[in-house]
Amino acid sequence: MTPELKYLWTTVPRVPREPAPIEYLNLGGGENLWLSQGVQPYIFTLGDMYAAVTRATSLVVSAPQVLISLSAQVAEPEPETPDEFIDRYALRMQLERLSKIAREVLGPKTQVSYRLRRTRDTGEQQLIAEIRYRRTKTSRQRLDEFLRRYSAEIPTAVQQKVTLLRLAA
Amino acid sequence: MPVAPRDVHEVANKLWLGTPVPKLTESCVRTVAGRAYYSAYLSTREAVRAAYGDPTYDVGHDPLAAFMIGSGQPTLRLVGDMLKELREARELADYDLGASLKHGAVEHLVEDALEIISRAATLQAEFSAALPAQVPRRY
Repeated sequence: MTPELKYLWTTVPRVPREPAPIEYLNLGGGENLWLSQGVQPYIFTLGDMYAAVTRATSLVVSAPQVLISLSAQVAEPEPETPDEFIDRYALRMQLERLSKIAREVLGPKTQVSYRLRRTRDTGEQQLIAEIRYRRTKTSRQRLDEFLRRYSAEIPTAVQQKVTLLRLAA
Repeated sequence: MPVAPRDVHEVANKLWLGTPVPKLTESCVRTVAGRAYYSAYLSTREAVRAAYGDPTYDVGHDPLAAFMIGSGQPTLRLVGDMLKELREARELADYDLGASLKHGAVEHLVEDALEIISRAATLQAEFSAALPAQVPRRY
């Protein structure tokens, strides 16, 4: 039993009362039959009712908390595709910016593709951005320029989730 | 082009015997990617150790790059991105036998590794400035 279910179980208002005699339940009889068996029905006092209302109110008020707690315990499935990962961490706009920088600096035919990888150290998912560029005599300078612009213009949170891999096409 | 474990062994054997290793083979390119990354990582780790004044300080690969990118220091941030790329190439090289790692793909990685090594003094200064934030220690 989860702590949440245990909480619900133990906080349901339970008013102690005499159990009905088995004959009463079997016969479906009324109050008179019950009384005729010599068993007094439980009489609620004002204190009983106050306690019941208070406990019921606290249960109703705490219900959303219980639901939040239960929902927090349901693990969200990990992204299985690059698109799911991009949507999960709202990376699309910044990745479009990354592609724009890549084409500006490395040439208009530069291709950017994505794949997912799990890091071996920490087990975290990373989005690998493969930048395929055409080699030229100035590739080294352009690669440096691209990395500097990426480092300066793309937000830190995005850089933490993305790993570049610059590949000569 | 995929490689077989025997191809990787051939590089090890040639290095051991001191015979030339053909530089355009994929197994050679993969070996280069791995050595390039470790030269850069170890140089950066030395800069961390010097900044902390602790010659035994150790730090995990991913936490180190993550710390550098989030440090707010320009050179640490740039080198953190370079280390991540070097590490990705190294993991492809050493674990993914089916991947293709061309000669041209590692050329800039070797140069990046050298650039990281040459920036050791700047890295040390920026690690010192990034204190008191702690690089997560590896246990």
